[in-house]
Amino acid sequence: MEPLLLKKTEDTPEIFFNPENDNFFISERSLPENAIEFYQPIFNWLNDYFVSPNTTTIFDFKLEYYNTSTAKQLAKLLMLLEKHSVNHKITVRWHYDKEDADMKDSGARYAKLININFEFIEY
Amino acid sequence: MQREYVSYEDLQLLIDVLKESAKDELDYVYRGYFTQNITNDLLILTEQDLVRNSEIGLIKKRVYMIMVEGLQNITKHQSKAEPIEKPAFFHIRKRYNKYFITTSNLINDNEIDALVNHVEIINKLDPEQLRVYYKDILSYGSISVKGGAGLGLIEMVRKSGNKLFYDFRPISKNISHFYLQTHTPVLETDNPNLYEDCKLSSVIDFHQLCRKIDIVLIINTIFTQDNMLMLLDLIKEQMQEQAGIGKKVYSVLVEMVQNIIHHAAENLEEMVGKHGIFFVCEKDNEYILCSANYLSSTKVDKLRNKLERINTMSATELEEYYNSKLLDFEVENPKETGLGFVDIRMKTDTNLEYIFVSINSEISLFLMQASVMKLKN
Repeated sequence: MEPLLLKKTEDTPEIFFNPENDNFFISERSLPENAIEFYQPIFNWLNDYFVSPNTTTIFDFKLEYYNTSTAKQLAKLLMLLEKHSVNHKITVRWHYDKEDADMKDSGARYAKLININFEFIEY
Repeated sequence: MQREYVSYEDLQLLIDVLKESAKDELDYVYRGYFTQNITNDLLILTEQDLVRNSEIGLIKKRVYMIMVEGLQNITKHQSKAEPIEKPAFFHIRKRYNKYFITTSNLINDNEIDALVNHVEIINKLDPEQLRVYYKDILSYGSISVKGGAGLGLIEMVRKSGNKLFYDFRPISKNISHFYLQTHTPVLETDNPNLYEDCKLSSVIDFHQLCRKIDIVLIINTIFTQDNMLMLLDLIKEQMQEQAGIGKKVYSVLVEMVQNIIHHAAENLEEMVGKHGIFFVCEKDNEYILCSANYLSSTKVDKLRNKLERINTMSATELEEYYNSKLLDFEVENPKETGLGFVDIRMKTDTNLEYIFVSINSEISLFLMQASVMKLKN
């Protein structure tokens, strides 16, 4: 399947989903005016991917900063992973800057609300 | 911990100066140390406005050139020598199609006479004489130890087609603020009252108010995603020494400004675009971020109820409220996540501080302050 590669912009994150290398990375910052619009193609791609996914899929979230409108789309993304984790092996790795307690808390909140294997990585 | 919010009286004074009086209103204020990046950000911010307002080429060029000269001038002369005072001040104000650009830096009182002399000479020269004077200085050398040679001031006069207004205000025994203002296009004298609050004396009063409430930045314009991103850049640069709290400040700033972008009234009479005001005060222990936007007075009650409800919640209730909004996809609206205010409340760890000010029978101004504590060293 074709990888999904979106270069970072001033207000949207870098998306690097490449099943061939087992690479699923969201990084940089996400504060678009319209997060729904930005994330829709990502959900579409993931739904296609989960038709025949890799044996194990590890999603890395390494966001420097995101706005509340992104927070909701991330919740949606994680719930999509939760749904597929019933039949597939999926892990979420939440990276946070050791000085950024808010980012750590945000990850902990998702981990509490969404039933999926969560790992925390401090950097 | 008690937060040092801007008092209601001071907010009123600020609003009186900044509240929308002209359709094309614009203010940018920066108080502090000017780095190359900050200078560039201020130029880009203004350029975005010049482009949006489709200013004709000549005006665009003049405003830009005056800003460049003015900013270079204060960059050269800003002094960290006076610990109690910010090194320099920049202000651009637009009202009724005219741009007023004011700068201020600290000066030793024993340099004042020479400076006044120089400005007075420049102000008396006609364009041809200015050209000759400029060339003379280029050929025969400098009049200032900072290497500025006073060419910047001559350029400001040549580029604006207008003379320089200046004044001084003492701040300590030997040091004064040197204020310099020019505007473009040249004012006609038929309606001077329109520009009363743009005159140098008014801007000096405004600067004194900014000093009193520790304002370091004001943006009063139509807000867009583009200028918000520039604003983020500017804040990042300004807060370099405060890296640890940077992200908290960004996140509050983004929620406040996107709130303006999404909800500010834009179709009300006399208004074009999402007009708002955003400013930052730097206190000893905290940053105060303040946003203001116009809204239809009919919406005030609903918004007030929402804010009151958030303010009365306990920590557990806030958490539950946040989580329920986070997972609520019933109505997907890009402008309304329901999370903005509660996020600010949680990140600042204190109640939302806000007021509504009635502008006229139909329009109100909604002002909100958020305090982000600095890290203890």
